[in-house]
Amino acid sequence: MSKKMIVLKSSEGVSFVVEEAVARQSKIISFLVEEFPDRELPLTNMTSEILRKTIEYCKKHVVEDDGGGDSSSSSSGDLKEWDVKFVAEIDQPRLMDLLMAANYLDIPSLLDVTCQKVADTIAACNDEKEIRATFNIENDFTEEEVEAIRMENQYPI
Amino acid sequence: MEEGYESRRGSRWEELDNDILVRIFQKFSIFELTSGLAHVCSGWRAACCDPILWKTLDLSHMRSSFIKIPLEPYVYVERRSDEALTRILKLSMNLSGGNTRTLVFHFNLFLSDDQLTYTAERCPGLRRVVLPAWNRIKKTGICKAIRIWKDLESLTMPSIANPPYLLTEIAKNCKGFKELKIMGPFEIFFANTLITYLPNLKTLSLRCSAIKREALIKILDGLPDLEVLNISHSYLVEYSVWQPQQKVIVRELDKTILDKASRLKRFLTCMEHQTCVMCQRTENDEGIVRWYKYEEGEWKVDEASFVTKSYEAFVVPRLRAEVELCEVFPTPVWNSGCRKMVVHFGFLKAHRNHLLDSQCPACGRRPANSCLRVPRQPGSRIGCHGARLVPGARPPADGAGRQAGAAGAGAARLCRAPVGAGRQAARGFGAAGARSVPPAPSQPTVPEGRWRQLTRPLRPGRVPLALKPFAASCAAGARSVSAARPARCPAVRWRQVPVRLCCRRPLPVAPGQLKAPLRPPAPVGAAGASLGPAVVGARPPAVRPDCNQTRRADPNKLRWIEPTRQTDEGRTDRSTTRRCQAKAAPRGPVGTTGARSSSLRIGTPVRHGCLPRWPANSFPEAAGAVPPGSVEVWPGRSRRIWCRWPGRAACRSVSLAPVARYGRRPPAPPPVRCLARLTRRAPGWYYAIWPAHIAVPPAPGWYAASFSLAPPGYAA
Repeated sequence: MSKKMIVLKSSEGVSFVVEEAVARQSKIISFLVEEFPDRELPLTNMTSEILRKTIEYCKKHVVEDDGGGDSSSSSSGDLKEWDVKFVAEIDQPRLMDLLMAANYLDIPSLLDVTCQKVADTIAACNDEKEIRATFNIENDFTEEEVEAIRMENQYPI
Repeated sequence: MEEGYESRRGSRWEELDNDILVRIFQKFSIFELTSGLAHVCSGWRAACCDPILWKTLDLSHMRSSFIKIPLEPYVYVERRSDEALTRILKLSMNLSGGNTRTLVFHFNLFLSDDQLTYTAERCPGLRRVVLPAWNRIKKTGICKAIRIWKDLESLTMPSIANPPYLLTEIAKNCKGFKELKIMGPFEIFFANTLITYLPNLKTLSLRCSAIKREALIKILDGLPDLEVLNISHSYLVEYSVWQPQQKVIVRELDKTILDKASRLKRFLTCMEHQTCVMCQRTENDEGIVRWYKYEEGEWKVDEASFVTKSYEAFVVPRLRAEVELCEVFPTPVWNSGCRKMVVHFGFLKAHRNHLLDSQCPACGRRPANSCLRVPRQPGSRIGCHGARLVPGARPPADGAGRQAGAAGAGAARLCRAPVGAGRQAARGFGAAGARSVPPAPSQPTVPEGRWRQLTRPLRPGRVPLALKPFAASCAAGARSVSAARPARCPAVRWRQVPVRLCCRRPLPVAPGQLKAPLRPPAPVGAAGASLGPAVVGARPPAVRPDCNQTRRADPNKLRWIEPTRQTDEGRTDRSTTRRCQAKAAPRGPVGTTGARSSSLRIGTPVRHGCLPRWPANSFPEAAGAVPPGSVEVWPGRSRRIWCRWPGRAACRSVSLAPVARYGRRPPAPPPVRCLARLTRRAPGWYYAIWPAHIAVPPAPGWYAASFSLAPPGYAA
């Protein structure tokens, strides 16, 4: 049985051929496929590395969806473990790109997993300085703003 | 590789999409949100302020560290825990920006009055409050908070000894209030208070509390709108009539209770003292459950889905508009002449059917259907109806030059009298009304501050602000309040102020019947046989023959209908600014058609509204009342006429016939008629426009506009 294949093209021009069922987990792609069948879809805002990761995630999930009819509970447990491992491997800059890709392609499960990972990372930090250091964020508050916030939250009422 | 990736892509965590950030922040609790996240950078702070994150402010995991003391307030809260609560409240209120809709406090979190007031002021749009610990809250504190929470719908409170002060405050301020949960013994006094002040309660939960059987029966009898009642795991007791000291635990609901409760939509009970753990706990604690002994969060659970309910559904702008409107007139008022009942619109919306059946306490009349209208605009106030209407009052002679004609007339009727105005004897179309009701005193009292503006002389060419609500309520259909169409507001441009018309005769359809389901047209008599089911009035002698043609047509198509007879019995009011004149009409054959007519001057913009009333001399019994389903004419700039009428009654035609005015002969322009062109259908209301492109616009002059309505059920 030959499955319909879809060609996705990353920003570097690398083409990925995926099965339609895999790609259709993204609502955007399934929409595009219906609109423009038999065309390769250029995804200019994601690198091939991120796209490969995304496809890997989608493939894993679509396989589980298909084959997990007999042992659904164990497979869903496995899937969760796999998800955890999947996001644990990703470093921070890539995580951000993956987050953006999941958001752009509209893959709810991937978005949820990556959001959870970011939330865990934030929760591991003690204060805002540590968060800034972890995520390499610049403090763009001016002295006055900091003072204003401090005054706002001052005890007592 | 790592470095390369970093440098190539750059780090943009600050620039992350706000939606994604909010999604991430949704995974945090309120304590984490208020700790450091908002101080990382301005982008993150903005995301932290997103209303989604603050819709529910759940402090149910925070409890005060306190000791019990034997004096009031029976708890002593440690200073540090108080400060922590204040800090959390300040931080979250600053971030939430008043977007909190649901507020949940722990039963061991003792708010002080200051903290409660602060919270109330910072989230005025609160819908739902769970506040089971009131030890440190005083009467003034909670009343102040309730006064701020105008939109409050649901409250979870402890059992209090003296509930009337609270429930009065709720009844006065929170018009949309519908859910109450009481955590603690439910006494007969509380039940009585509830029946007195909150008879419209929809949901009541007395879960896990001691309930007196008598109180339960009172509730079931006295709250007619109650839909959901939760008495599961409760400790139902009955005091014997013979031995008042002896209480009997009711183990099973008897037939009386079940019969009474059968009208409820949901009646939640659990009386399994043998098997249910929660029932046993309530019984062991004798109805005052020691929640701290049991699982965390158990107190929050409610079978009536109090806590788990999503409150997004309630945040409907339409609903809010109505709630705002409700503030004007909290209770129904019958105005002078007992013919019109003034209600606030929230009340109206909810009790329309009930009101239609209600009677005036003085004369026993029922309100006309058209009285019960809903404003078409949020912010428009029905208040003008609240001022006593004085039938027959006319604009003062000396003020007439300055005032915009009948706008003055309308205003005079609305606010009793302009300041310093000489009051004419009631004449004209209001004559009979004046006879039935004594004329207004020469030194009028203006009811409220908000109506004081009416006493100022009205400048011509402008709709006085005070007429806006009037105009809006005139134009009000059964449409729901919608902010989406403010352009239709008649008061926005003065040319579009609707002219309320005097009716020739009432719709023979009773108000209740307007809501009746569609039914086939009734069989008609000889007169109707030639014309179809829509019988029209007698032929007007004053109208030229060429306009008397009646076209026979398929009743399923739009037909011409003769203009009903016009007789100008309007008084010779020579005030040139008066544009609208009411018509008196003889009693015509009452068929299945109701016709509406009025005279209006075409070619000159009509600048005012005039009060809608039945002509007194033809229908003395209905004089002064608003005719059911009256039609409005909106002479706009393009000489179009807008008319509207309640749904079901299909409009057949719109006609204009020149009328004599001031006792003179009819003016030259011929009568014009055209088919009503249905243009728009609001729920329950139809509109017709005088289609300028079909007929020649009528020449300037005075016309009688009339509209023929087919009976309900007669589909076009």
